[in-house]
Amino acid sequence: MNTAADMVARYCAELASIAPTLPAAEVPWIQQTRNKARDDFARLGFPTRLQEAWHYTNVGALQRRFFALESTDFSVGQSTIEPLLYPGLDCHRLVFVNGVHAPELSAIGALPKGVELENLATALTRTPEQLEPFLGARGQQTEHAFNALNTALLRDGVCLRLAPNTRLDKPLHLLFLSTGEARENCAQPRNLILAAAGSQAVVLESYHSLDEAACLTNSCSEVILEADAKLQHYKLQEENHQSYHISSLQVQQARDSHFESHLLSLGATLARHELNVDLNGEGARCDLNGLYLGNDRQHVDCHTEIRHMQAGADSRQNYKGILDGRARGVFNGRVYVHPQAQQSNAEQSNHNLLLSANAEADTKPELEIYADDVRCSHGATVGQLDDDMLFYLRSRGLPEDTARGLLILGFARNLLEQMPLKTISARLEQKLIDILSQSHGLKSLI
Amino acid sequence: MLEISNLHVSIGDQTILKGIDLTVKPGEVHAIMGPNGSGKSTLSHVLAGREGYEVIEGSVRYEGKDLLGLSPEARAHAGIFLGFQYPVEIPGVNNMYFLKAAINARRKANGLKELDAFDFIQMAKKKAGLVGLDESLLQRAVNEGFSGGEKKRNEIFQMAVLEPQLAILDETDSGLDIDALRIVAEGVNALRDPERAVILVTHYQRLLDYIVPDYVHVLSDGRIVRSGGRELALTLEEKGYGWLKEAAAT
Repeated sequence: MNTAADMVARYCAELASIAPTLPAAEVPWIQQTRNKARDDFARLGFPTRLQEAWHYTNVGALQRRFFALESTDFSVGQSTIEPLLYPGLDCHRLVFVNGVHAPELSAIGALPKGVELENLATALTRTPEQLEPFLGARGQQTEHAFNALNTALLRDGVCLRLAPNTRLDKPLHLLFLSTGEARENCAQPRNLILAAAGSQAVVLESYHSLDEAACLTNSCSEVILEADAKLQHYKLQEENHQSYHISSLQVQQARDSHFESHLLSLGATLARHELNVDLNGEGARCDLNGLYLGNDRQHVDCHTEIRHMQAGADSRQNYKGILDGRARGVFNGRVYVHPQAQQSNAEQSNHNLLLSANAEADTKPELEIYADDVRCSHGATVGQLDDDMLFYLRSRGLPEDTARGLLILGFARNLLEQMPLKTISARLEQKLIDILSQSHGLKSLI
Repeated sequence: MLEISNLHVSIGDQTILKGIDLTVKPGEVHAIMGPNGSGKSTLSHVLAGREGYEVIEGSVRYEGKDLLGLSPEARAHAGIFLGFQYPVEIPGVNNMYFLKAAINARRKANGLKELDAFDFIQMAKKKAGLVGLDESLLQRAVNEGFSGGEKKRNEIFQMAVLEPQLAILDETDSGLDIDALRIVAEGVNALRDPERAVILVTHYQRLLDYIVPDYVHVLSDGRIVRSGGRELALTLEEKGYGWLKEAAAT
């Protein structure tokens, strides 16, 4: 029987052994960054429920197994990824298999002038000095075990850089594929998006399993939006129900920048989505939308932290959970308003629909406000399908399960409607319909 | 078509209907009138199959079969339609999407071929025109943000699309101005046919100026205390419900 400490030691030993083979291993700051992160991880170990940020989410099952970090060649054919693409979405595409770039599956295509798009391993080798401010000591969250584990590897992911006033002409689709074959693997993508003043991009991250192996995805992304930059970010998580998905996305926003996030979390036995946004300039705005579905024994945890650091910034969060079976959904949304962040607007809502008596929703808004001239609101509900609505639909002839399915879809729909890209929202809606059709009789009628 | 015998219904400890007898034949329009709290809405809901009501005595037969054992959807499939006094707003559920699902569920249950999207839309637009429902409302969420009049019109529109055998309209006239009332009435009159029947539940006589009933029944304290022709409604209008109580007391 392995103890948690043994497992941490095992990860550290494997990290140390593969360190010389990692990209840009000879660059001093990269080496130091990895070593320091490995020491941080060894010191921190996996989080426990005694830590406030992990109070509702137990990673015990995750830390009892070992997910291999060493990359091996997995042959994934073009035909495998075909069903995961979005018909009608003309895009730049990067594909990662177990966290490592797969150039043969990727299709970056021609890029507008001023846009640099490459995988991180290439960028680390090509221009390490340019990345140091973001990935080196300054860019670290040292007290976060999963971030430390990711940084200790610092192997691959996407690196997107936009020069001032450039616009990524087409959406960027990032596919993160996990495959186990004979073993349980760990994918640790590390993504960096640097959007200079006035630049714009649309990015879709999608996470999929290619087989039934239990894999761990531990993804870290950093987004830096300079003045007036705009990023529309979509994330679809649909890994298999044996897998673990831990992700953190850190966003730094300057004056008048806009970050828009749309999350759809469907898969994994345990999914944790951390999204931290620092609003560092006047007029900065973030809109965060999230929809999470859980069934069976799935556990999904959305953890947000918005920090209003300067006056006159807006944040809006709208998260919804649909929980069935014995699933558990967690929303922990923290809003911090700095004393000098006057005229801040912060809205937060979290609504949960429980479809079974054994499903559970935990919702925890945390507002920490140190300025006096602010508008902050939050609302949270946990409820069931409305009997009046059900009766109304059934009285018109809809079978009960179809009526329930329509109401569930209706509950989710306003989040889908807020997605500006209809090729994406239509596809995501179809995914919801497919899932609801398994438990509710939707398909026969729509 | 519909035979209600000695129907007693309670909600919790309270008995609301205390022995209703009513027979409705194809082609007939029956108006059920009565003061607030007399049990009118309870009767409508029980006929449509709403949960939460307990039938403690009596029976309801529809086309010769027991109705009370059927689910709300099975009743709809058999041709029963309830027009709601307070139509429910259903965010996120598109009016057309829902109605197409409803009509096809009924067609499927009756062994008919389902309508395709094109045929359905043609038919729905025609019916919307008939009841004066703004077409833009068809693409909105069911009743969401509709005015009171639009909600009632949407009920009549749904009725026109679903073409029920037995329509039960629960205070469809409440909250309508004269123009809306006329349109609602036209929708109901257009449905009148020797094979169909209508039960109009209403507090006021004025709807009956537009939809002329064959029979008027007065419900009071869970019982039908008087039945008659259209003239009964006019008497009620003139004398109010108090007159009935006095008449009952003597």
